[in-house]
Amino acid sequence: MTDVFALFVSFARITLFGFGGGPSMIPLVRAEVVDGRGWLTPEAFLDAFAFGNALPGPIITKLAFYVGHQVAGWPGAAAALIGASLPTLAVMLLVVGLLRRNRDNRVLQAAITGIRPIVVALLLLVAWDFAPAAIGSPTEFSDVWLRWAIAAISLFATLRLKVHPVPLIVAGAALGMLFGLGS
Amino acid sequence: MRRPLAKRLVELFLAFMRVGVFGFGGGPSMIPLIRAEAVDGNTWVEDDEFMEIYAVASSLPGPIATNLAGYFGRHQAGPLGSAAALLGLTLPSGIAMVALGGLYLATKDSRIVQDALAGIRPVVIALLLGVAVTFAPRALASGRGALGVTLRSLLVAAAFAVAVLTGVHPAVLIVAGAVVGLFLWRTW
Repeated sequence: MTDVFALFVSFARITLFGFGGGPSMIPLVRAEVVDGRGWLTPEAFLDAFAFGNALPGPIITKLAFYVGHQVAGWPGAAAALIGASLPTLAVMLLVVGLLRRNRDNRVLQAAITGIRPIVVALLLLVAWDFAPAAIGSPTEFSDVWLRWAIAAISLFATLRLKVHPVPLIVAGAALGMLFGLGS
Repeated sequence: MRRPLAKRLVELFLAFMRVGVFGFGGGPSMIPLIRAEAVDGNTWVEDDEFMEIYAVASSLPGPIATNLAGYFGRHQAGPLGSAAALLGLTLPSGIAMVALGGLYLATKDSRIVQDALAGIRPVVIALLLGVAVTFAPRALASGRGALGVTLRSLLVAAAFAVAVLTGVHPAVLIVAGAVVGLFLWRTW
């Protein structure tokens, strides 16, 4: 039973101190899971991380489930998942609650007008950080052309044609496999 | 007139399951998917509110997808809603991790998988840009005309440049934006 609690605590620590999204939390996961608790060997951690990256969904919860299950079965997986998601959610709800309650505050409204441009910048930043993996280091020159084409067509499809993201993702996967973009 | 709780819970679970199943590439890929569910598909919120929630989630610790899922779950159907959303988001990939773990050595280097991911990544870039463009009118529109738009555009560019050059945390940018908003656009 203490393992279950330890899983909750470890993953709560990881997410509460993990500022900056999934990838930045990976060193924290390693520190907790490999160095701190010895739940996985370094090799097993690398393998789990690599496999986790091939799957959809948030990396932290995938790792939480996997490590939790390894350590203490399904109760362990549940404890790790809860630790990874609930504490930070509580903080989020608290902060948003405060903002909502002060909706009419003019100072807050003025602040929000300054924050909206930042949100646009953050999205561009996320795209920028993601770009090297998406467009860069192809195995052949033709790959670059094709990746740009996929991006351009997808942009047109989402903005002009209002196509839902899911069909575009499926199409991207299909084109990737068809043209062997990853190999 | 709210719809029955059970319906809302199922809707949340399925919506975030879609996010969790098609969100290849981590946090970045899930943001456009979550927006598609929250704003376009289920119309839980408008873009204005979504942008604020996204700003808060970007500034606080924790995985952005779970924070957003938990928030919208709570917003729609209380604590049970949060649970439904989180389970929908995390169960498919979590179970896949556990169930297919034995096969991972075979799968992680699989050419098919790498090919598919390589095709998905440019799509994710486009989706992110698409969300940015969709937010832009709300972010840049100003009652003060061209000057307001220009100032706001400069803010976008400055924030982007600072982030790229210094790698500073989003929370710092958000706070800076709030300060700029206070000084330049004080409400009358």
